Amino acid sequence: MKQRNFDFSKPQRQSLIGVVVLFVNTLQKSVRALWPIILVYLFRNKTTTSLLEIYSGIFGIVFCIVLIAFLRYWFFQFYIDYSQNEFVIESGIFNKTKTTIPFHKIQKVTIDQSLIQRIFKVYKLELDTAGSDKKEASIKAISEEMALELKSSLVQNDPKKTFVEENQYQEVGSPKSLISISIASLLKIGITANYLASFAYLILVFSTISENLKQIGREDVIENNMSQLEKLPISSLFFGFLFFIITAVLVINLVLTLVKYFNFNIRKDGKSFVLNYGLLNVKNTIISPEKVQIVKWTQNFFQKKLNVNTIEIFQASSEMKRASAKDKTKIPGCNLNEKEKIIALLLDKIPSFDKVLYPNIRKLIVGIFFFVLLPVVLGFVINGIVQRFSLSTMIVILLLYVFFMGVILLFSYKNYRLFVSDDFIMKQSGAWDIDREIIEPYKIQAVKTHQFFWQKWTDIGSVVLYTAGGRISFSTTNYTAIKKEVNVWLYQVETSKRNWM
Amino acid sequence: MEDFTNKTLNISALPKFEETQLQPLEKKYFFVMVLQRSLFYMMLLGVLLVIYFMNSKDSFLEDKLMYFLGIWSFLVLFGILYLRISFTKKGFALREHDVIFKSGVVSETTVIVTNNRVQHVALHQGLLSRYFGLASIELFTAGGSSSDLKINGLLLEDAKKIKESVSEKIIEITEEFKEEAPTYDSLTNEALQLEGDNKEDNETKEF
Repeated sequence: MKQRNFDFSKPQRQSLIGVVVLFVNTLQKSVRALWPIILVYLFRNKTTTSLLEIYSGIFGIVFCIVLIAFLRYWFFQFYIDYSQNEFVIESGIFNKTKTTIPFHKIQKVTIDQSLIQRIFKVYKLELDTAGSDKKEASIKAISEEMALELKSSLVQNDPKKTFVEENQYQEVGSPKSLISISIASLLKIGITANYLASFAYLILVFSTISENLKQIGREDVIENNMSQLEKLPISSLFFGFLFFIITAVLVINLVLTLVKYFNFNIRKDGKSFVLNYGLLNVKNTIISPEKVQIVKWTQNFFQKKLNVNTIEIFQASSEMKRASAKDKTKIPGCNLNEKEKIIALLLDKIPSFDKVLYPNIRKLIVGIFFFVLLPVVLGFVINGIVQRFSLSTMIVILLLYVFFMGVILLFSYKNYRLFVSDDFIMKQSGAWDIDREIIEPYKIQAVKTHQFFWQKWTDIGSVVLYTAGGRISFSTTNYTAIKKEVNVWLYQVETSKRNWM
Repeated sequence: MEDFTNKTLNISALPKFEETQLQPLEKKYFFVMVLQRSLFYMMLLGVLLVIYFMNSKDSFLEDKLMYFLGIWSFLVLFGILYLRISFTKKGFALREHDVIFKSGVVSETTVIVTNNRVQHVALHQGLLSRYFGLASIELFTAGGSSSDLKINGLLLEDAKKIKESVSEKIIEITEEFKEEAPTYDSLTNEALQLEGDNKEDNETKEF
């Protein structure tokens, strides 16, 4: 490692082959930004455009992107300023940006490869700094030799960081994978989770398309299609629509899950774990077990039958900072074995519980009052005023609603539990997707108990436990039992000398 | 640290937070709150009167001054009464290892923050409070803003006492941490914040 092939005190460019990587990168970004326009362009009336026009258009666009990629490559330079002990990156075609990172601020140097980078045998080098806004510098395409050498010269300049380098040295060479999620598991998750998110995505796609059609004055495309649809019988239209929605949601789900979590693997890196995943953008997340505040695993009925779980990990933000949702990490599609392995890695052991707290039946009654009774009465009253639907349709709609809502409420009441043991607290909740959130009592930051004055006679109350990675609340349960547990938790927090992050 | 055991725990023998004798807030603080409120009510009265006299020609509002004053005095009475009840409901306790604060009229809320989890302490003193020798104290934890504990209406000496006892604990812990875990832990801890999402942001900046 000692010999120097590169002189980093002089400005260096990335590998020339890196232009290709930058090209794909730029293309990807352009497509992501412009896909509705491209789609509309492709589906507009063919008669007005000749083949020549299309080809020249495509050629023009590709040429522009190549030019931009090359200019980006040409103006991207990096060097080490030894007099100032800084690493400098200069970039930008028209807007020049100069990023300087003092050595002592560099916390971690990561070398990584995404799919495209793997094809062209180039590496991405990234710097993590201690700056509060997490502004990282990244070099997209350099050769392995250069990456390793740059890393060592960046790290060696600060004696304190030497062991960090040793820790990460294996990253490029031998990835010792602890757990890797198979494509089959991802497929299983893809067809059983995130229906709502995909549905929202579908709506977003449609609204973007129609918005773009409107902008080029082609809303007649939608209207023509709509009027044709209206000629079909209502029942086949309904089922066709339902079928279309279900398939579309499933396909979107599958594709999104696969692209996002492709080749998901977990490696051990010193005391911490490194998660690597993604097809187009390889993401690299680090989890240090002592910073983990909440471990949550989710499973629904289908996923239980297919033996897959989703695990979410909530970490504390960097020292002395507040918790934010961004420090959440998701591990999709692990089976029972893998789940237990991951949980044991994060929490040192598989949690077991010896006490259970149940919600009071009033939780169900109040829920039924607010989400079933009140909406039904309101529905009748409003319909009575505006006379939108006939009485029979109204009854059918409301019966469906009551059934649907009732089932949700009943199941979420049945699943609502708080499990307690000496070392762990687990809250179980949810109607369809059942969430289980586990925290360790010594990581509690603050405790809040609530009781409405009318709950005093029935001895009902709620508790909220705050951690640096989020909170857990358990409501409408036996207040005496909760207070007893709170005293135990306070004792545990106050006597614990363990570092909570 | 490793020899910490937790096996023989007699739950019923543990100190009970719910049975802790709570200290009420300073009587003077109620007076301060009433003063602050009266300022607000006076402004409200002013606004109402302006509205009334601007539109007094209006047939709808004519000779309805009594209603205006009636509504206003009802608001004042209700507000002060609520203030009084909520004042008596508030109470705090400074225990050896934690601070308890109880409040709430409709929903009785008890917040407990343990001294060894406090990130920092703030002591506030407003203009009126300073005149009456009062102060408020705020304990920040890593659990987010909704878990912060703020006690208004303490005597300045009491507030200082709380601040000192909690600050001592914070210093004690930071020093302990420094001794036990030298550079390695603290460094890797900070070093481990690679966030996948941020990379995309950077890419766009570069473009």
